[in-house]
Amino acid sequence: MRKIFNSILLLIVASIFSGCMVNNVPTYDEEVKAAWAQVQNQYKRRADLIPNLIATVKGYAKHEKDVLTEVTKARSKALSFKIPKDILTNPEAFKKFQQVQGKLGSALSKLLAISERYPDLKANQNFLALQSQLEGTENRISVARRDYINAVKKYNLELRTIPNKWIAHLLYPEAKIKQTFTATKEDMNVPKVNFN
Amino acid sequence: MRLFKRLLLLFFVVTISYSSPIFPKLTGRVVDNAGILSSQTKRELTSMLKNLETNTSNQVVVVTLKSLQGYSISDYGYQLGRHWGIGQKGKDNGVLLIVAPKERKVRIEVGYGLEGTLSDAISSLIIHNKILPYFKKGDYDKGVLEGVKSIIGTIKDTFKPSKVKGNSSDDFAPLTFFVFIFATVFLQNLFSKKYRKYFSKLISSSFIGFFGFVLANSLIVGIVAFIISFLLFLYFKAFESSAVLNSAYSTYDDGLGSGGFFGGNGFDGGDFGGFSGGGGGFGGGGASGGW
Repeated sequence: MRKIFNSILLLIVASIFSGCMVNNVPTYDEEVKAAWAQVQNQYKRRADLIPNLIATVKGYAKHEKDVLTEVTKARSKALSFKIPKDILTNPEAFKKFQQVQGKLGSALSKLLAISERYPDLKANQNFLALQSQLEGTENRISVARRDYINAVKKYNLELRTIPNKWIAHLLYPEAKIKQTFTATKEDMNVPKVNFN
Repeated sequence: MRLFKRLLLLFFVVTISYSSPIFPKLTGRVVDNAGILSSQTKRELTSMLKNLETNTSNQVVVVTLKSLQGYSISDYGYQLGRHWGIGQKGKDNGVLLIVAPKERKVRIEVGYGLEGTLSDAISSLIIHNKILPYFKKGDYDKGVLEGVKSIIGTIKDTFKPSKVKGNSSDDFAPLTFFVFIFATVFLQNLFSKKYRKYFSKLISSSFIGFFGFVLANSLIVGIVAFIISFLLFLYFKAFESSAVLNSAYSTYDDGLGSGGFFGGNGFDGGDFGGFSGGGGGFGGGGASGGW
């Protein structure tokens, strides 16, 4: 009697374990997709803040035309970039996406840097609000990117390591390694050394 | 088996080395690790924040840090929020006010659910207009108090608690189960062997009852689970096997050793009954400032 009970228990435990492994690929795939959606959201949010920012800065720093047009151009490029459906498994498209957003990011930080030179602008409540929103959004972007990197790491590990690799190969032959952001310093969680 | 254990160990080591910063323990609604707040301020903050949670279910925690360990405060902040799980699950209505006096940085970290109300812009205003003027003078108590008051003022109409909690019963319910277990263990030693098996059953079933209570977060479920499991234990001879009892005893020891489930009782701040995060999520919302 006991033996039968034990073997049934073993069977249940084994099926739970294998059940987990069988579902890993689709589960992690969903996690990656959710993290990616979050990344896109935050980039979109940043792009939405820009027109207001430009309108405010323009009033105070008219002759900084170069930087202003650079931001506007980078924004329209980022918005017009059509994200292909297979972007997560398409290295080129993914790289392009990263480049386009990276350009917008650097143009924006340039804009914020020059605004330091205009005390009136810096005292403007509207500008301060926009600046804090932009900072918050940049922070959200880096959080979303890091979450995405971690989700992809988990997913790719599943497709690359044994024995999960075999299960994935058997059950999900269409599953492909996903692209991830080239980690910036912050993505890698490298602590900055502080000597004071 | 041995190999498995080693792999498990390796796995833990790897995960630990990944989860980078070291976080302080959540000992209450005010975690003054840097030791910059007076006990009067801590008491005042704790009672304000407790009131806020009772009325809105929003969880706000004030934390002062000895060091940011080389991370930027925004980088540290959201990870601390996630680590503690401040805010209710599903509502994600947690806020952290983080002060790092060594680095002279302050941050309001806002959970997903409150990003709309306590926006980045408002957080930034609170930091620059309410907190930093006092911090610049070295008055941490006043700065933190003013900041927390503004945060509470901003988010006081956001969420409603999902159910009206009977405060006292909720705070003491887990204790009753523990008292029960202690009492049975104590009585067990007094009585003759004849009755011992009943006591072990009582202990086991009160454990099940306790888990039922913790899982369902309802006292009634806990009591029902306790009664049912006790009856089951009485009827099923199979459960008399020492294995079940031993495991029950070892759970009991573990429970005591690790300090129980309601990690971090904030007795210092008059926050009787313990405080723990509700599992809220953070995505990097909020604002930072320095002085």
